[in-house]
Amino acid sequence: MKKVQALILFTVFTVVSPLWAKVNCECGSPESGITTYSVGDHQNCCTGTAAATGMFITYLPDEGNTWHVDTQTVISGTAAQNGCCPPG
Amino acid sequence: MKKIFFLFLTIALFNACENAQNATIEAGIPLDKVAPTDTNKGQIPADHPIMNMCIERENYTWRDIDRYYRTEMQQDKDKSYFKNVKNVAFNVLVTVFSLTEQAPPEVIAYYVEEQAAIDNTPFANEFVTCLKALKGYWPEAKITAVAQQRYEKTQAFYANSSIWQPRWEAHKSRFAVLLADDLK
Repeated sequence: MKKVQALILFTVFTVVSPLWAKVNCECGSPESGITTYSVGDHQNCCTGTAAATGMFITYLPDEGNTWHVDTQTVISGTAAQNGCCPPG
Repeated sequence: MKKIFFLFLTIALFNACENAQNATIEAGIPLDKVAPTDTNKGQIPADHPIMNMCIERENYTWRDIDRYYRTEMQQDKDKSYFKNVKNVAFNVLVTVFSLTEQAPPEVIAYYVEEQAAIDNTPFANEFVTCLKALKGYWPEAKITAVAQQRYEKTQAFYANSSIWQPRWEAHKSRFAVLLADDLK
């Protein structure tokens, strides 16, 4: 019975728990555009596995320096990650 | 054994709860240095639920976005990014969640009215897509009038800003779709 309990604990702790969460990553600036995507829990934004979808949003400022969304493009998570983490 | 069991369970639950908040934002290797979100007035936080709903779209439907938009999202009304979130949510609903193919006309009409009320919305094509879906639900004269008003409101928004005014010539073609003949 103890072995079964230990096995359940190990599974919950190492396999299931990380799937409950993710890390949001972003790069860029409002003017050049903000790229947003996510990777798995505790993963590095550049080396982790990107989720399927990412987003690219550009903004324009007004006189009060408030940024207004100008364009929004849905891109693949991999493209978003490549954009934020260029090779080399 | 029980103590160890509860210790592991507590750590696992703590770990899960902490991460479920999705509060951690790590910049990728930035192309530009990313300033903290609260210094860029209007910028939508990377961990905003609307962003999550878009980048995890396989876990959501248009109904989830619609419910969120009408309820929890309204609590952001005093935030500098509220208008931007409304615009992005609208664009995501139409382009990612195919609102005009999935939702009943009263829902589409709600979002057209929401967009019509905003001083500036960049998503003219999506606005027109929704207006076309309302043919037969709204009188044609109303559809044409709403499109015309949206164009004029956008033009006025540009005209009222010394920063935006010079951009109108370059941007107005994006909004010309609001005046297109096929809306009549």
